Amino acid sequence: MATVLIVDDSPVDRRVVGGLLAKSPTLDIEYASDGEEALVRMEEVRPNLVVTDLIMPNMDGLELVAAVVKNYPLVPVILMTGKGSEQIAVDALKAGASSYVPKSVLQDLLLDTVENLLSMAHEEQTLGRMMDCMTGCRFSIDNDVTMIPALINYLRRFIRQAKLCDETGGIRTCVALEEALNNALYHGNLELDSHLREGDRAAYRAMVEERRHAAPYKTRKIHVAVHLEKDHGAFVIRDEGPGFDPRVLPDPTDPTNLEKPSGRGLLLMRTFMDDVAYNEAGNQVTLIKRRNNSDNGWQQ
Amino acid sequence: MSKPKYFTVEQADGIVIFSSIGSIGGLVEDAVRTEWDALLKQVDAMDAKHAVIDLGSLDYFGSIMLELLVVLWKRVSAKGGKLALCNVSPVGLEVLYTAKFDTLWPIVPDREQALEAVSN
Repeated sequence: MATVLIVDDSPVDRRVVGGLLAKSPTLDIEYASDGEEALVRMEEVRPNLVVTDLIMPNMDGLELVAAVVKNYPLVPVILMTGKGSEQIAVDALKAGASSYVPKSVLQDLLLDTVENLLSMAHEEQTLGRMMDCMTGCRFSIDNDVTMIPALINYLRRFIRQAKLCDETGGIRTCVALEEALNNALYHGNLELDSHLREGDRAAYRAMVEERRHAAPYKTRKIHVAVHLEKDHGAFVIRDEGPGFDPRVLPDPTDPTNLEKPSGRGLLLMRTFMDDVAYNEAGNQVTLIKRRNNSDNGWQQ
Repeated sequence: MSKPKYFTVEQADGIVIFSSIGSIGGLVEDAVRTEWDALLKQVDAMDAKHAVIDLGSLDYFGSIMLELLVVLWKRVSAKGGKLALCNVSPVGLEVLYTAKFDTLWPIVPDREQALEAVSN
């Protein structure tokens, strides 16, 4: 059974809407007379979906949409709109309402709309629970620069979902991962030295493009593996280049090196992760983020 | 130059102001470098000595941004100008302090203070 909360200040309209939804044997119907009462009822009955009128005393439909989106992001809200309130319906959708149904066609559309949204919400909630069970993921990406921000955005969501660390810790982790991925692409697979960027920058970019399409560089890939363990997350990034010796990098914080482009990526990786280790060949780096650091909110 | 995707540039009283735009997660390295170099060409044509960089829309950045700052800094310092950063996110501040870039330029909370820092 799914619970639907109907919010309307008119007792007559509440009964009409309740009667339409009661045709479905799988729905439990609950009621509230305005937005404020609806939020109280939501705490009590935890509805799967909200159907609300637009104009109500105390807290109107738009304010209720904003409150539900903020506090119950997985609960869809359907707005019932009167004639002439199309623009408000658009505003409600922008504010996060899932759908709206004009009052003039409630009888024809409301039940179908409710059932469709409940089905979609169920899928999303199931997906969320499944993500909780993930223990890792793997990627093999080409030397495509646009894939790196896309992968970082995915990993940021993955880290959040996995509760590896809090939001700030997730951002710090992404800074480190982005550095490792850029190193794998430019220095690893394309074998481009940082010093080249100190000279003609246009020539450097041309060389990037040239190597992306030339052998042996063009067939190389970047391999990313994420392993979630009880006490940490491990991010393993491997390129198919010849590797390098991280010990030969200059200290980028030495005043004489501040304006040089070498070594800053590794410095940020070491600053924002708990452990950073290269393999012997220097073409694979393992970055560890522990769960029990001060910047994460994860508690077991 | 095509419409900027990462930064806008404006000039006021001999100061060029770079403002990050959009809510950018990771910067696409090649694209942002290309755009930055094109913006620097515009700046070269301006009658501006100092620079302010407003990073308000970036929740984080890494070594790419640091490199771009150095490129701008070299141009500004060649003119005897000053540079200041403002509206930097908490993680952005960590990045700048880790790289010790706070020893190169003032990093201040808002644009008004940044303009003041390069004007004085």
